[in-house]
Amino acid sequence: MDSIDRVSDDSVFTRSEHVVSRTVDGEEVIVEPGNGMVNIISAVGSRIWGLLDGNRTAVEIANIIAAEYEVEPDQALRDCLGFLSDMESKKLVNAAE
Amino acid sequence: MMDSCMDISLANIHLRLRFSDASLCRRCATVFGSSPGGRRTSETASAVLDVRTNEAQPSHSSTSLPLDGYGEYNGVFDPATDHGFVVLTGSSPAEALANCVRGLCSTLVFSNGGLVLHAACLAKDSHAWLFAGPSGAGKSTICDLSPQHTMASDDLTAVTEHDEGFRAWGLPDALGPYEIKGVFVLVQDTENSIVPLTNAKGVAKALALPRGESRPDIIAGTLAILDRLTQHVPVMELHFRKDPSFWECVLGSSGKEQRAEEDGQY
Repeated sequence: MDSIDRVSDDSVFTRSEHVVSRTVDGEEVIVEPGNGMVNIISAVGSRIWGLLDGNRTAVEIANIIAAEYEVEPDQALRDCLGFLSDMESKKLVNAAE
Repeated sequence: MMDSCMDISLANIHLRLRFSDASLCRRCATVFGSSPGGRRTSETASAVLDVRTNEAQPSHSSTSLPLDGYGEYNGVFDPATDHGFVVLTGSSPAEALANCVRGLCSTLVFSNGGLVLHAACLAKDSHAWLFAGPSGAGKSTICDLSPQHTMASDDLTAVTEHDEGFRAWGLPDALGPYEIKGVFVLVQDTENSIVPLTNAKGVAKALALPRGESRPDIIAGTLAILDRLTQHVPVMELHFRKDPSFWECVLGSSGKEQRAEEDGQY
């Protein structure tokens, strides 16, 4: 199953416990300990990353993004699902239990 | 029984390597660039590492940090006592020790509030320019092309934070400190140019964790220092060709006041 299929409107994710991240001037720097891999995500991605608290669904996060960045909710949801799929494929986020 | 010692200065830290035999000490001294006796100092060592080959590993405390060299070396270091040991297990003990010291160096410098960059440090008067990149990026080439500058280091540079900003110390000789004028991430090219980086990209490109580093507190602390560094010091990519003309870009981007002093002095 592709990772995109595992991410739906109702999906709830948390940031992976094994990564270390820091917001640097609005962008997010995410480091994977052990292999030293570094990921940089944009300001919007950084905001989504900060909202991944294990409680909010993808659509709830998208609604926050839509309001804060003044974009259509449908567009925000597509962007949010794409971001989560990417993060999930890189094992930087986990589906909440 | 330790037969021979060699002292290495790491910024304001003095690491004493105590070898199990003199021949091992002599072999390892070659990678640190001087005879063992030449590095002995009268200063009290602030950390001690016992260096051995093919010996049983002594027990260690629960506060010890592992020194895992993936087959090259294996040991522990206890920050509580600033004492550790390493067993060199590979076929190239001198290189293994250099890698081990590099990793330990990061730990020691970090525990004293600084960090180690995989960067060459070139200095003039009280100022330093750091040239960062992995092995093969061109750090040694940059040093060779800069005879008018003091080469504080061609590979590792300790960065410490002070009220006024950030200072650099070349490793392992601890030349410095120097005020950092800029950090340049090296990219070999056919023309010279400067590519600005966002602070996040600057942090990501300057980050050089020791191989296998997995301690979240160390990584988080390193990111925090780099974050502050990028707020105080320009961090950018330097695309350079292999001649001294790259200094035009470096000085033009890291302070015009230095440009006048340096003009014509390549």
